Amino acid sequence: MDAYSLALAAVLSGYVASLLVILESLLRTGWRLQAWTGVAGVGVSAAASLLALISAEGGTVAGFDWLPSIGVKFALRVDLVSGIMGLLVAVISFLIAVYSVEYIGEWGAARYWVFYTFFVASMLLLVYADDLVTFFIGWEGTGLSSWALIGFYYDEREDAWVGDPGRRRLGVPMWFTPTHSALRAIAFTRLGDIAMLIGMGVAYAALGAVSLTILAEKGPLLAALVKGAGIIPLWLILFYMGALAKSAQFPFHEWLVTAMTGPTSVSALIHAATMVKAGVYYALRITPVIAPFLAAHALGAEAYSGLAWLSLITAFMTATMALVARELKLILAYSTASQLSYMLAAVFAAASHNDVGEGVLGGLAHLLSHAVFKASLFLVAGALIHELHSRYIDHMGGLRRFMPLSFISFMLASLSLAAIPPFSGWWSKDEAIEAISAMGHLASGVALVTALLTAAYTGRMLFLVFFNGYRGHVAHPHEPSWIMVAPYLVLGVASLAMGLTWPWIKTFLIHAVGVEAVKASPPIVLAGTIASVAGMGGTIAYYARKTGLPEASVLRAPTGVVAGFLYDRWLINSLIYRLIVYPGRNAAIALRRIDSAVDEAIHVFLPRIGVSMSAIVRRLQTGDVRDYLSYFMVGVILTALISALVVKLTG
Amino acid sequence: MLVAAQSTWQLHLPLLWLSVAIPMVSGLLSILLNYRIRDKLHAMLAAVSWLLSLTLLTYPALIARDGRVVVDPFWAKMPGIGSFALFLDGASLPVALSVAVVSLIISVYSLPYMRHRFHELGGEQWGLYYLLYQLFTAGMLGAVLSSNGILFYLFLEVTLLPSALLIILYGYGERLRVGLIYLIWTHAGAILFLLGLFLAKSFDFYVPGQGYVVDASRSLLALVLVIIGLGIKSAFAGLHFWLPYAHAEAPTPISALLSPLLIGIGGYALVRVGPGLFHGVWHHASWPLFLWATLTMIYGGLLVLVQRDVKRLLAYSSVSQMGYMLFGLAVSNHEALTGSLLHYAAHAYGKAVLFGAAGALIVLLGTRSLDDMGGLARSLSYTAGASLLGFMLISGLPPTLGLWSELYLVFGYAKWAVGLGSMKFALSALLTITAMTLTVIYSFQTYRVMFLGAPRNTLREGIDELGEAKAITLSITLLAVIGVLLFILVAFLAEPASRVASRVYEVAG
Repeated sequence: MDAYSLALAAVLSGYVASLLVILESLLRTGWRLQAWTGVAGVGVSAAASLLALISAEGGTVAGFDWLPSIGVKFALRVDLVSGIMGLLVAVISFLIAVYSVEYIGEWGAARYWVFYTFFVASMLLLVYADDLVTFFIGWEGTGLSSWALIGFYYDEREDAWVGDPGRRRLGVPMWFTPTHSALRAIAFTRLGDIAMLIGMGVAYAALGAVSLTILAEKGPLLAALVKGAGIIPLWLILFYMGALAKSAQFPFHEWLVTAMTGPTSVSALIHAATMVKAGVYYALRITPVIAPFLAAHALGAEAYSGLAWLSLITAFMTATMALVARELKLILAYSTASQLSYMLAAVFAAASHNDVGEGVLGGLAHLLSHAVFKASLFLVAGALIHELHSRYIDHMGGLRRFMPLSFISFMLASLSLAAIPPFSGWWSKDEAIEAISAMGHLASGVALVTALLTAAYTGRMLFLVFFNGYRGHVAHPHEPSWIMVAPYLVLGVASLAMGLTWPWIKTFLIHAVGVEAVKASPPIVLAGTIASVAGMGGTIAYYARKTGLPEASVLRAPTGVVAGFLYDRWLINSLIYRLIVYPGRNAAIALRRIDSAVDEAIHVFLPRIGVSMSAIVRRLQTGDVRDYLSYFMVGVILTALISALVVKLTG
Repeated sequence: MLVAAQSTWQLHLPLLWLSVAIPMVSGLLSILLNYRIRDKLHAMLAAVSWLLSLTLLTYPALIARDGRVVVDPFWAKMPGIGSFALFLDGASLPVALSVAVVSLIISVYSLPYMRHRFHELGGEQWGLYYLLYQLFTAGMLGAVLSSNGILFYLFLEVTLLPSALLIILYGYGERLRVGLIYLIWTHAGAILFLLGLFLAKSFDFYVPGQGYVVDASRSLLALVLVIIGLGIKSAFAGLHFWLPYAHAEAPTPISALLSPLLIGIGGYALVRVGPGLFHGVWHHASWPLFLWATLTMIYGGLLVLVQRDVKRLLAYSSVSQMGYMLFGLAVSNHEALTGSLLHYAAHAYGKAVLFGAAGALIVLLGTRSLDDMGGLARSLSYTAGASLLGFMLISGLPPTLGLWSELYLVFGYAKWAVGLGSMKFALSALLTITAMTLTVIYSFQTYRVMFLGAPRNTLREGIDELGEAKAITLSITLLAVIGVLLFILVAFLAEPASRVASRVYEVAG
């Protein structure tokens, strides 16, 4: 089979599995069959995507016309970049699917597996898509699945909430139920998606079709159009806004934080390893195609550097939030937003300096390593939360004794997240910071400080969960069964293995991205390493002094001004609700009043006037001929007067 | 000015007239047989007639798909007002098929629902119900196939009285008052439309054997009258005050027809008349209409968020959805016009599903209030699943037809807006993003309140959606599945529409 058929098979097997699960649930089969159908479907995807990567060399684009009148094709592109990304998505999806069988169990199984497989298929569709409309279909499909799975526990069980019940800031509740979070996710991302669709529409207006192939061929036409229309920065922002929203850039990061109400397997897959990477992937694919044409017209550099700064700020901001968070999944979610920002910042910074290849390399490298270690961290977190019946790290501690395999996996992945050598995160973060450094010292400075913070919150998390005394309420926590341990152990070990083999991986990536020489600057490597080691070592040393950490010292939400500000997510959520959501609600209420007032005027007062007029007229009609004769006389006189007046005036 | 069709196809048999007449005849049969046959037979009669009608439409539809204009052989020149004919082309194809399919499915849906309603009202009138139903629905099909404004108006009047009577006889609340409000408003709308045509002195949309009539009048007054007239029919913001009453209080199967099918026909007619008859002046209307469209989308959307009555909520959503159709009309390039026509279909299936689901809740739970719902996904999984697809259809998510209509609309919009200058581009983009995001928000918020969360309903125990309400459940599921199939088969509707739009109606500049 050729690369196109293999990629198509990878996509379709997910959709077919989704349909099969629907069918099985209509036939009321047991949940195990539904679960294993899902696993099998994703397994086929993984196999097909591996074969697709093997035959991806050189790149092929194929498909068929779908809507010729607007140039829409169903077209897939299998090259090394999409091949690598497809394999990554499918393999991680497969591992997490195996984990999910037992983690999800019976309750809601059909719903879970329908949307899980639909997600994998949609994600692979967007990865392989050449045509941007095809891409958009996959993209929206992932958004829909994300909505469904964030709100998976639609009975709003309290175990799944995010935030501290009862806590308010600026009068805005700071706790979130699953269906509330789901609504937030789809609202935030959809906002970006419509903007992105407008951006694609502008490209369509210039080129008559939108695909990677056509953008590469006819890019100058597009650059000329947006330049002529005078909408350069605006168009670029619209074109990327979908990616910013999906990849949780400020202020859209809010949806990702609360998306942790979903089952942890979903957080691992959709909200860490794959879907949130879709925005980065979009930037990786689109930027090398359009940035050169814009640069040729000396356009877009400022917009790109603005975007890069937005990402850097997001990276820093979310890292500070992770420092004080108490919910294990929340720490990981902040960390995800922060790491995604590294990837985007790398691409945008490089694009702003007309060196997009390096940014793509940095973004892709960090995307790969992050997907592996973050999935592992989330899967362990899911097992811990499940085992200890608490989402707070306050109720953990000392777990390395009870759950050694989970500990090993978590530690390997943590060291990678903290960018300790020689783990994969150390290499890939360096690639990203190298690209960011194109923007100057200030930008590299922010990136390095964020690296320090990353190592610090990672150290804190690792320590408070696995070291020190056990503070939990469950008497004897133990490892989950092998079917759950194996996936995260594999991923944890993989993050070490990737680190050990990184020079080869990097060579492959350089080949895939198609950049020529890559400079590595020793000062940045050194500074990054120092930041990581110092951050992690310092934090662990700080907590290790407090041996036998009493439960009370960590059990409360922070009360200090700074810590409270960070804990409440820089009050961004409160401000969004205060400035947009509540005023919107009030506007709706006011509008309802206006609507019903006008309604009343038309449908009550107007008829009432008619009724009273008719009452007047009725009163005149007495039935007495003498009255009618006098009306007649009055009428004649009035008519005569009016006629005389008219004759005189027009005279 | 006449624009010749790409090619025409004169039918040998009057298939189009028959497809309109057969449902009407079945309605007459229903009233004649009235109490002599059982309710099931009445429903079967109606359903079979629509099935026949749909079958007769298949052949013309296949021809129209290739870009040809299909003309019914029975047509006549009417002195002074052009020619009366029925025709089917790419623009009417999505609309006509939606009318026929939804009418067919809702005729089956009517049986269990009206059983419930007749039980409440204390007396069965199946013959009369199906007479009115068939006149109403077949009238819509006739209006869509009309080649002439006057003929269109006549068919519209055929729909009006039966639908008003259906509200008055079988509706809820103050149904007599509501029926009159509906009758007066929409009749006024139809008259204004007619007046506009008289001022324009042009009535034909399409002249058999000659072609489409475009740029027939440049009278702004006439244009304004037509827009307001059809605007009332379609309930654009400011002219919508009748709609929440009518659509909320009508018996639910009728709501499922009124809301997506009938009001959308106003938008469809505006394609024929606006960028058609007023082709030469239509671009003057573009920017104001665009503002009006997004305003309608936002106005309707915000009001959805503050409703507690499900049917009233869906009625406001229809106002917002009509904003989508106006959006495409305002932009008026072939992409956007195709988007409007596709959105007619997407909304037709989506809103029929949603009203159908509201009806299911009325039958099963005896409530229309959001305050009584919540957590219904567990006990009503089919209804919940179909409703999700319904909301996806109106908010443009895959895999439903709604994605395509939204895509066409936005692509058309972007193509138009790049020529407006950066300020107008920014403003219009902001409005578009706000309006379309709002649709998703209200859809998923409503879904959340109805089907997710903790159950609040204590009204009835042991609901079984596949028991007594089987036909209801299956018909809304079928409608939703069609909305999904059309996602894949979109080219069947979109390509012909786009061909007609670019050849005849596209307004450049």
